[in-house]
Amino acid sequence: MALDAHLEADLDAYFARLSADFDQSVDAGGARARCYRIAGQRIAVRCAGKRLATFLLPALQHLADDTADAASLEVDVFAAGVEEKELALPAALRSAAATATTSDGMHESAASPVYTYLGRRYLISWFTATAHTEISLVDVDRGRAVVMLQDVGGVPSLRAAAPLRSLLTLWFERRGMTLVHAAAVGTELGGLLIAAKSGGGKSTVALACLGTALRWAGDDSLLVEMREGRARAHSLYCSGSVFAADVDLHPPLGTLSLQPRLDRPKMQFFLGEHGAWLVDTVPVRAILVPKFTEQTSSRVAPASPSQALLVLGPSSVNLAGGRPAQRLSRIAALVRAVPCFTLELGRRTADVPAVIDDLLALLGAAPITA
Amino acid sequence: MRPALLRPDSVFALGHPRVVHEILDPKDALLIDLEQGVYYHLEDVAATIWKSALEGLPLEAIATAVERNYSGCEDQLPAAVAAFAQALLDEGLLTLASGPANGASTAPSVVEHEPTPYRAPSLDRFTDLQELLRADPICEVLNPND
Repeated sequence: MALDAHLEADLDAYFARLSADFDQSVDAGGARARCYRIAGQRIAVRCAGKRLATFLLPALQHLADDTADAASLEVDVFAAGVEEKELALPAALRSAAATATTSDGMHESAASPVYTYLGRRYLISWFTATAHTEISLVDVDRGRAVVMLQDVGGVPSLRAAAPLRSLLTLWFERRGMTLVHAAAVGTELGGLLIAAKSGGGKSTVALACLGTALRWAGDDSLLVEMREGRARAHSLYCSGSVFAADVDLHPPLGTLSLQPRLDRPKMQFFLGEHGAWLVDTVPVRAILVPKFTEQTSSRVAPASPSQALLVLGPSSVNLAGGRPAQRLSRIAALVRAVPCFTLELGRRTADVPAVIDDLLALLGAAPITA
Repeated sequence: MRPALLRPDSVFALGHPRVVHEILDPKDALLIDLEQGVYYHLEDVAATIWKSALEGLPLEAIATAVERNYSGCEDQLPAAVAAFAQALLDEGLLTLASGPANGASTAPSVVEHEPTPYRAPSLDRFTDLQELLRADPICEVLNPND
């Protein structure tokens, strides 16, 4: 109890300090403000400086919300050139980390530790590594958050494809949702969650459906909400990626600006200008686990919940902070709640939308492409 | 160094806090060791042993639980169960506990499913996501009142 009181007091001061740093950045470079509707909640984001906004906002563009509704969460984001010594965790949090029920020395020896604090009032994700720092601090009571990114030679250290993922994970997992490493396609009537490890076919399936009546909810990170035994996948990002050699296989990509990714031999794109190809949220009718085959055509086959969990669990459990045990438990509830299938991908993927459509019809969801 | 031989009254606990696991049904479990970046899939007898161990059953009772839920068990079942428990200890997924946890039963689990054919327990071990699972080790600091 005493520890908690110390933490809260420390985090009050920490929040105030980061907010003051944000104000200073705004004084120097102005602010860009946008609101987004994410998983049904209105999130107001203020970026300090135009340059940060150009990195931060494209992946969220499809969720832009122009209503006058009150925001559930107001987020201030800034990038700063900071020395590691300036990033010290609040003393009480560091002390708590040292005695936390985690293995000894983990945060001492790890090259890039993530500290996650989930208190009654404050939630914090604190990540720092060489040339990459992301500190997200949420004040649950006030519905306020501040995010500090490291400025590296004028470029904020963030994954433009998945901005604010730690913050959004903290906020939405507190509300019972779960971050999953998956793609999803469908419509407001129903869709499929596509579960695979990196390189396992998530993007292949999402790209095969691009520009069809099966709309894109995401190809890498999604929020999943379970309510009364039913699952719903909420879009987070409209970013996607494709191997350079495969670009010509997907005609809709011809209309997009493709940029090379720095971390993988892939091209990155944003779909914010193509709202008709996108969907904000889909009821999850089934989970598909893709599997590359040498067959000519694609087809689905029943799979066990265990097969889906074996793919979805390990690749999701450690994403972007949070509580691994809780996330795994929620993912297990998901695979129990919806039917699971293997999607045996043929050499040509042009038939994937029709195969998915047939499956949705079989599951009782209205055919989409017919 | 291998620990001392297991005894019929040996009881177990989760190896360390960075092991997360989910028992999907009585015959299927997923274990993830976030420290080592390794994950495991346990089926049938292996999953029953894991589940029974975490229920606080002593080794002898774990073997009885296996016997009740599987048909055609091998003659040396207690030795097979002990060998598998030892493998879980060696992987750091389990640790020896000093005694039954509070409230834990020392009686074998009830029959949880129709007896299915016995297959020797095996530990399916996966290292393909090691980098991902270990890349961002999380120091989880929870509110004591949470």
